[in-house]
Amino acid sequence: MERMKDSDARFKSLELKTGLLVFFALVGILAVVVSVGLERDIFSKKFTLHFYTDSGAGFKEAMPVKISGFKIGRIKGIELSETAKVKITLEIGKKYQKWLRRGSIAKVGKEGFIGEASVDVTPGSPDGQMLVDKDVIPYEKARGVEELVEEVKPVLREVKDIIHYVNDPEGDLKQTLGNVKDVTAGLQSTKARVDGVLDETNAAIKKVQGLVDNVEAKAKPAVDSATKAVKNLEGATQKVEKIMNDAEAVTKKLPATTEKIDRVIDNVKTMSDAFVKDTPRIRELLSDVGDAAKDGKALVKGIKEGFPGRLVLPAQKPPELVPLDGALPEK
Amino acid sequence: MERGFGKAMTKAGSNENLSVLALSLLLSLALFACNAGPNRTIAQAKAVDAANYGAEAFANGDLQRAMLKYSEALRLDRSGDSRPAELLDLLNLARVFIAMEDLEKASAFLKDAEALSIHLKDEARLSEVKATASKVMFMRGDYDAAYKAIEESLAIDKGLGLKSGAKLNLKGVMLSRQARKQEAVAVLTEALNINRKDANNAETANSLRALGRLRLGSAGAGALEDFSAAYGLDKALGDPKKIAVDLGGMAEANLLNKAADDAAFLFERAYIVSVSAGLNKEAVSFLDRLVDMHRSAGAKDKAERFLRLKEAITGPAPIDKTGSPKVEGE
Repeated sequence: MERMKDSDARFKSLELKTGLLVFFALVGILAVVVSVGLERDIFSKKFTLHFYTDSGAGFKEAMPVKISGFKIGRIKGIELSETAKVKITLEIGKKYQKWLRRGSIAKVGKEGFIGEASVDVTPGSPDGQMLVDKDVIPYEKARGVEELVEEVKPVLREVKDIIHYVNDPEGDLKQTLGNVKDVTAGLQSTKARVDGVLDETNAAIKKVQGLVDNVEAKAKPAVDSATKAVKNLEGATQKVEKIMNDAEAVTKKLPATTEKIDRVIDNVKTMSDAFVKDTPRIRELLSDVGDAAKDGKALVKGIKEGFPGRLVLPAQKPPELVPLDGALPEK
Repeated sequence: MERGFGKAMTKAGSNENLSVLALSLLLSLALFACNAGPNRTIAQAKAVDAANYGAEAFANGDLQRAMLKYSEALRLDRSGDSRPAELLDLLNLARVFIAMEDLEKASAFLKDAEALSIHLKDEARLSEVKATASKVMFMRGDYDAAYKAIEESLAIDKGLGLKSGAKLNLKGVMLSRQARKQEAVAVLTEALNINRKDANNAETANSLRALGRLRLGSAGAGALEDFSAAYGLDKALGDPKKIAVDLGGMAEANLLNKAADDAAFLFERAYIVSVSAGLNKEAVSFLDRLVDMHRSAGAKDKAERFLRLKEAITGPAPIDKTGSPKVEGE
């Protein structure tokens, strides 16, 4: 036994070799772990953000969080809040914090139409305050396929109706097309008739030309008469000019006339000023006249009603009742 | 004796004190005589004048002027709180408005008149107010209330020992419209007697006309005589509306007596009187009778002629199913 243990060269420093193997294996594993961790940012600093949504459908833990298509984090947790909303917690690398500011919005996106879902975060305003750990950002619900389908449904229905309307043999469109076809067919025969009419029109035009020539010949005396009339008009115009000259002469006399009128107006004004001055006296006079009229009326009344008057004047009859008409209208 | 008397007078005349006393007495007597007329204010006198002018205008058929004058009288009487005069003015205005066929205004004045007559305890005037109101109610179609009012009026008159032919005429016509013919004849006959006794020609004509209408309904015996008598009285009074109605009544009576030509002539005269007086509604009704008569007799051209005359008043007539123009009442 002793002899087997020490004499084989392969067993020399076996323990050392085993130890070294284990050491390097451990290092290797560690390296792998570290590299994987570095690659997955396990060792980098992170901060969390939250947003709330009505439904957690479409979200799952570890779903990537991207900004401008670049992965910056992942969904760390999905839980129900006290107000029955779904709270989504995002874990984002600290080095990406500078792009996340007030105004950043989270929404669910997909790569392509049926690609991998992710949470896309918009950068936010560059002037906005940088988001910090445990901040809440707004969530914008993206329109899913179901909503698109609901919007398209009425459009599809209308398209179906339009197709039905177009295809309907009793419908307006088909009938109109039929009518157009008939009209087109009729046009051919109409064309031939129109050609005939054109020929007749040409002949008529020639006749009219002949008539025009006749008219020209007969118009000459009429034109001569018109020329004579124009000459007469010239004479009349001269007379009008004479009248206008006379009017001008009258117009020249106007200032003097106007002056006279002004003087008359001044006199009237003087008189009315005097009248105004005397108005209180006139008012007195009128009042006196009124009083005299009243006295006169009273006197006449006295005479009428008194002893001498009653002898000569008829008495004032007392008023009577209008008689009742005992007739009633016909039905 | 004369010498003694003369001496006594001379002696009295020579006494200064006695002379002054005698002169004063004479002067007072003269002043008393001068002042002994009815003491009216100027407003009252003016109101009396206005009312008299109103009565004159009404008698001449100038209803607009009558209304204005009575309104002036009312204003003056009210300004002086002359209540009896005011009551008379209210009643007169109501009757003027009935003649103008403005029943709403007539009712308004009658309402005031009734209140005032009750306040003044003037039974006679209250009776007049009720009789006038009954006429207004009848013209509005409220026949029951109209009959009740005329009965109240006649009851008041009975209490006062008065009899009014006009009011009995109204009652008689109302009874005839209620198809109480025998009672109507009795009342109208009584009215006729009263009116003839009072020489009230207008109301006598009303009684005769109403009796004629009643008799038309019962085979027409005596209707022609009644209408003819009424016609004579109305023609003397110059009321075209009543003259036309009398002519129409005579025509209807002739139709019942199978005297169609006379009937046609009288209907035509009734139309001429109506249209000349501007009574278009009445004129159209007579034309309708003429069209109807001639169509029934087969005289289409005559019917057509009267239809054209009707269209000249009313405008073109609507066409019936046969394509002929419709006549009112068809």
